[in-house]
Amino acid sequence: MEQAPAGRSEIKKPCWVIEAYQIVLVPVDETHLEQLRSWRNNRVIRAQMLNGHEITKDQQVKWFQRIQADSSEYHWMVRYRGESIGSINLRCRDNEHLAVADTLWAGLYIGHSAYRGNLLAFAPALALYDFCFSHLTVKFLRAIVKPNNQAALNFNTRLGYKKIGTHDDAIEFMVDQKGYENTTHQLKNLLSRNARSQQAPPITSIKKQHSAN
Amino acid sequence: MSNTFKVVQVFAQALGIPQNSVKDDLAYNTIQQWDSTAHLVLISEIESAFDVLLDTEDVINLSSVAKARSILEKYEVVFDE
Repeated sequence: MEQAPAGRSEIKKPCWVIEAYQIVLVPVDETHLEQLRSWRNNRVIRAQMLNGHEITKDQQVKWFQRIQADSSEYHWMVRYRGESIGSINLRCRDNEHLAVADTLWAGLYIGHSAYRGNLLAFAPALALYDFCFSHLTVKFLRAIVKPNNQAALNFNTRLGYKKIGTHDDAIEFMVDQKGYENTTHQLKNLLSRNARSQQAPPITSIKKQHSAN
Repeated sequence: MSNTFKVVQVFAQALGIPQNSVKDDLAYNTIQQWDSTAHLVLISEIESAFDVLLDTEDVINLSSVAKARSILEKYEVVFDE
């Protein structure tokens, strides 16, 4: 079925809750702001951000107010076993609505130190990318990484990304659905096994929450 | 062959490192050779060597040599050396 063209003003901003690979992605709300700011201001995380300056409480609130009204940008908290462990986001070009864009930029950081550098860090990316390729109109995902962030370079390669360009202080990667599916099959199998006591493996579950927008 | 030595062999082979580098505190992402790709190979090699199928939770928690042994004990692999 052909997707009807739509401008950003014609589509309301849905709040997707995505559950897969042991984790739950919950849309960022006011209750998450201080946790996010604490992670974002952590020296280790800040060092890998393209914009590495510290965020004040006021800036964080303004950022949240802006993203609530911005259909080109979505942010989720990554929850594992009832605990917030990081944040993942999607963006599209400024004049587009994310739900109907053909190219999205993805970003992720694991704030909880116990899960940094852990295989679990792939779970939110797999859950979100599955969602993008199966529920949105996206054809390409892109990611921008600092050249000295070896962990992120390896991470993106493991998800099927290929380098497409180098900017002043960043490398840009891109992956399409085929490249993503071909590269992540084994990883998905490992992260979607169930506990021995349970039955069928979990499938991606998506719920829509009410949005203020 | 003891199960302790089997663990050392599996780690050394999966990560492509000498057996004498396989210590209890060797951990995921602390050496270049143990990245996510090698981790997938490692899990596969462990499952094959010990004839087990690890739960996802154990795949996630298997972040060091010591953890690998304690996880394998849950699957009735005995380390009595």
